[in-house]
Amino acid sequence: MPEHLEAWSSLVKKLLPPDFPAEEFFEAARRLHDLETSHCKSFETITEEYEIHCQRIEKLKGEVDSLSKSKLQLSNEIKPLSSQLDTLKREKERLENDVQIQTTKIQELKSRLKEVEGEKSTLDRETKNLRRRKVKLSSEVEGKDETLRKLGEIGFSDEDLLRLKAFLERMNKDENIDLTKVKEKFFSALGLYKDINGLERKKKAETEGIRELVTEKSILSGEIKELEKRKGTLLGEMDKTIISISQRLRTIGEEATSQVQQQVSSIREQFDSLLADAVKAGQAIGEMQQMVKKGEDSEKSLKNFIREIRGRSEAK
Amino acid sequence: MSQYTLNAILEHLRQELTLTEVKAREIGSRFEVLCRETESIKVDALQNYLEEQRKSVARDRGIASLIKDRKRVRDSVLVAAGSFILGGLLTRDKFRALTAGMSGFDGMVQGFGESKWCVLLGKKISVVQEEMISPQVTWITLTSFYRAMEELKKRALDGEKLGNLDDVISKLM
Repeated sequence: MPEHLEAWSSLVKKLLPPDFPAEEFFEAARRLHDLETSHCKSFETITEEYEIHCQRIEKLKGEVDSLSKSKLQLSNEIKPLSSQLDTLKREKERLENDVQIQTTKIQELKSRLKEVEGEKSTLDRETKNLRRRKVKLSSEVEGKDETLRKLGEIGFSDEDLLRLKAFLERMNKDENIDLTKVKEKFFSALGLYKDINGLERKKKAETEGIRELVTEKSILSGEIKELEKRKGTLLGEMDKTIISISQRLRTIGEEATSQVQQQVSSIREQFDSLLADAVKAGQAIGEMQQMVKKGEDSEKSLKNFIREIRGRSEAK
Repeated sequence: MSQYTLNAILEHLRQELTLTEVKAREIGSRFEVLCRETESIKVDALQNYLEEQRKSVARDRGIASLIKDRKRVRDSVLVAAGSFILGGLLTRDKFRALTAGMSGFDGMVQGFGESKWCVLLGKKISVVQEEMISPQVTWITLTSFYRAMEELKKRALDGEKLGNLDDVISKLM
């Protein structure tokens, strides 16, 4: 209020601190007022918030110091790691170059391998063809060899064949017969030879058979002797076995007899015990029957006694 | 038959025999007790007979006494009637009250005839008053007789044979 202004002024002067100029005081008061107006908060609230923020700043300062230390430590650790990373990068590049070179070499080797495989397949085909030809030639040679072998088995040598040829040509010339007919006559004569030869072969076979029979007979004689020897051995073994078995049977029989005797004696003991029990039971039953009889006698005696008492009473 | 089966059969037979023996002995001992009790019943029968006779004689004597004294008859009847009424009130059972009253009257009559009793033991057995005994007969006081009979009863229960009536009398002598 304007009328109070003088009073306010004197009050402010009275309260004004000696070392605080009035202008600065008003300036500070104005700024405080502006501050309260702009924030729509009282001075106390602002002061409390200010203190809270100061405390938080102190706390954050501590954390920032700790983080700075950590950052410094990490920076120190990063340096050797960076140099190590550079070394590794260089090594990686070198290895990549090596891999590239090796890959190129492998590609070359692969193409070379394909060429070699093509050559190999060609050679394989040729080898197969050669083998087939070899087999064919071998079969032909074997056929010729077989013919020669058969001729050899017959006993015809090259000289004999030449002699046969000369013979056939001479016959042709001497007899003036066609060579074909000469050959027919020759083979006809050979047919007769076959019969004679067959007889001789039969004779020889029979002789051989007789010889084999004789051999077989001697073998059989030997075997018979061997069998007789084995028979004797077996008879001896059988005798031994029979003796052994009879001994075992005797032993088993004795053991069985002993066991049976033991069992019989055991059963006899049990029967004796049972008989003793039966006798005891019989005695008990006999005693019981005696007591029953005594009971009956007592009953009769009591009846007589009562009758007697009545009789004496009636006598009264 | 295997050994096991035979053993089982023998064991079963043994058990049966043992059981039979035990049962037989048990039955025998029961019969023995029965015999002893039967013997002791002779004593009871004789005592019972004599007691009945004593009561009969006492009743006869009491009635005779009452006939002589009318006042006692009146008192007795009054006592019996009192018993009758009191019994009826207490039990609310008229028949029972009547029986109780008559029993009381009978006991009272017997009481009038009570005396010192003796037992005559001879061809006749009887209970008589002491003053009725003649010097020729064999007698014993009823109290002594009962005492002796109790002794005989104990002996009978212990297994002694009492025999017939003459044997009992001879044992009392």
